[in-house]
Amino acid sequence: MMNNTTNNETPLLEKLQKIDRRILYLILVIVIAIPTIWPINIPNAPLPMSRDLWNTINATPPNKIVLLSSTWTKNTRGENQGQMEAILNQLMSRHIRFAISTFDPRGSQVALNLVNSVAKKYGYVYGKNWVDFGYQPNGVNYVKGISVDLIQTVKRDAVLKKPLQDLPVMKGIRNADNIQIVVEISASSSQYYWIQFLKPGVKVGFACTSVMAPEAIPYYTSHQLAGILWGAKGAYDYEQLNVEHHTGGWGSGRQYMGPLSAAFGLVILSIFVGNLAMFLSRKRSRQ
Amino acid sequence: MHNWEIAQGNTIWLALAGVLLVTFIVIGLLTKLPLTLRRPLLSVLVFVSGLFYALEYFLPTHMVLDHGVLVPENFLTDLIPNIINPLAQDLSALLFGLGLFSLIRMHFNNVVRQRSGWVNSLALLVSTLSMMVFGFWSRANLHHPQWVDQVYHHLFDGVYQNMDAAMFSLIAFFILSASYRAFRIRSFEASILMTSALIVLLGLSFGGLITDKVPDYGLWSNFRIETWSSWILNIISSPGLRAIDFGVGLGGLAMGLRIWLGIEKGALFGD
Amino acid sequence: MQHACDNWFVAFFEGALIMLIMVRIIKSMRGSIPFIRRIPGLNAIDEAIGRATEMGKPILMIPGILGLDIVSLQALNVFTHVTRTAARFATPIRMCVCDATLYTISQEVIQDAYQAEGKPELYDPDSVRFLSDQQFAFAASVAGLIQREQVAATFFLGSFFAESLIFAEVANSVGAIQVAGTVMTTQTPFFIAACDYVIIGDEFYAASAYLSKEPVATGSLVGQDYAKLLLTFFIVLGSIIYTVTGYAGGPHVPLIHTLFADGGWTALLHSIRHLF
Repeated sequence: MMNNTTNNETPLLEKLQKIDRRILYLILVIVIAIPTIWPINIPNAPLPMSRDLWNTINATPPNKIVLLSSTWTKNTRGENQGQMEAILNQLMSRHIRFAISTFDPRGSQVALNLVNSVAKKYGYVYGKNWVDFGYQPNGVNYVKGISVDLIQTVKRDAVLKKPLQDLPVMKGIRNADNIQIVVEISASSSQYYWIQFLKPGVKVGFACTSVMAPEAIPYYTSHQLAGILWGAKGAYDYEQLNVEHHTGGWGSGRQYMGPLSAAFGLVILSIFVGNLAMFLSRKRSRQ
Repeated sequence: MHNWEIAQGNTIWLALAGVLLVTFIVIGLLTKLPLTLRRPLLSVLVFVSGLFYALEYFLPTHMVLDHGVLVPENFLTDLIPNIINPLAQDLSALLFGLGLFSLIRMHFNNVVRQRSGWVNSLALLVSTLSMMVFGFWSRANLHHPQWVDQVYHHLFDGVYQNMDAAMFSLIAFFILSASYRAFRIRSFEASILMTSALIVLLGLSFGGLITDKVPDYGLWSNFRIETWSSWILNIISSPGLRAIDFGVGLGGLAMGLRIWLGIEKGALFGD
Repeated sequence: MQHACDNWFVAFFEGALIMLIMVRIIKSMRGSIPFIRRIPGLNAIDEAIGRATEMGKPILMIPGILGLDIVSLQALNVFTHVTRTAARFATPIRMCVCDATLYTISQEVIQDAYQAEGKPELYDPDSVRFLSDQQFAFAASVAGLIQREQVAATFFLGSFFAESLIFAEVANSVGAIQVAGTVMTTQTPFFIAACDYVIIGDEFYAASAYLSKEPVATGSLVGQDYAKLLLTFFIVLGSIIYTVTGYAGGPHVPLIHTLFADGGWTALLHSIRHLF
């Protein structure tokens, strides 16, 4: 009897320990597809690192600007676009002046398109409320330069090609002391430009893809980064903070959190199933 | 410091031909040199190049205003964007040509000899050629028909970018199969690893759902999943990463030093 | 690159680290060769090559996806060792590179390795391949190569990014024995999950010393350990100073600072009560 049971159940336990990867992939497709087609809202608690970034930007005084360094392209739009959109919503609803620039030549147009689309909603005017510093090929000199003299370093804006000092948005802005925070929105390690070369005392934030976030955390705990947005979860955190404080609405952050959570749930479930099967199989073999 | 100006008209072609000629002569002379002379010469070149960065590091480099123009205090700093980087880019472009030649030669042979999978090689050759033709046509020649831009746009934004994103998205599938296989509690350490991983995963996803009713203020906040997740990331994981970074930095420093001083042995440096 | 004048302490500190490493290298060159502990990932190299030889299938090597730098040069050092061992048993190799500069150098290094083993006729110019300089195009090409050629052993050593798991999982699916090592802390967990042996952090730089037992490399390795001790000393010192004096102007005032301030104890009790 005992032997019979073992013979019948062992193959199932073994199978559960070695599920074919193609079956796992198929389940993943289904699990991601369902919440993508029928969105679900997952309750969220913003991470302290997201909250810190939100608070720092929110505390921008009228005599300072926020600089968004947008070093991402379409490849990582799933994570970076939601982050940047949420930050832009906060900036515009709070009437904070801001500038954008990029370290990636392909990132310039992507950032410009996104800002233009959000600006329409809030009636933000280019040159008066915001400005584009354009693509900055020489990152080190750019960061060192704006630490001393922003106007001299950037010289002209990237859209109207006008001298920066002629634009109303730059009134009273001379160097990094007039920048409340630089936020690097990126799919790579471009935050190091700011951490290494920006004038000490100027705050730096980092909005990155999930895979890059663990590398940045040591700089957050040492206060070299004022806050971090962790991939799509970071975008969701920021949107939630915006909604709580009436500085913006929901966006792709919340939209992507459903499929993302479902995928994470499947990862947890698959780990659980694998371990349970291994545990039962061991117990049976001991018997 | 001034930037080099781009030569116009025929001058640019003459300059390009001249640079190519000089490059080939220098490479030819280097290959003819006996090994006993080549190694010391390369060591000297490596030392001088390394010295540039050592001096650049130790000399003051703040940006200062000189007659109303913002310039670096250290003259070497300006050489990096104006001379060093362009030289490095030219060298990369030259070597990229060699790489491309090798790739095309191998796949061309596959097609001609009809080796197994030659259709894939043909697809590679056709895609490479079409991207090159439409890329150059669209970018280099300003007077081109509108459809060229459209074809290039379809190839780059429509095909390439999306295939790139598709490859990126494959990682999701691989993460699932790797975690299913790897996270097995076979030892005490593995159980700690798995528990931490689960807490972080929950903290970054639907963990809020589980501890939603727990107050997020005072001591109660310590019983929320996201607090545990942040604690693991900031207090446990972060120092570990920092320690690895220190080790990697020191390893890089030591190896850089050995190469700079010409005492490194092994691949490329002789035994 | 951060400059010395931005923070002279860092410059002096770096000078001290360099001195420690140099002193140990010189000592080692004079004959005092230190012991190096066992590194399982590097021990597994021969096992992986042996398995590929038995199966008659190729070995795949990838020196990261960045260009020519000290990381890729270190990877090439290890690959020279792998190639020489493979040449002894006439095991075929494949080396895929993502950078054109590295491609030409890799060709030379691999050819030299065959010559050093006295088997130049085994060198196949097509064994070193430049596939693409675009990250995911390269990843797709490597995944295809692993599947088509059913490689028996893989060596991923160098700088890797998001493509690391694609390589490792595809190689795992064909049953290859895998040795990986990277200096990128974000990718190490992926390799640990999917590969058989992983070289972590600065073990990567210990590889050439471990494999060659060459005095300069081993001396430098011990010099690095001395430098780590110096770093540890400063970390402990910094922690003590921070705990006692507090983070000037920062948001985190340490407990000890609160307790020594006027009314510190009262404030502490008040804040504990306030928690509830």
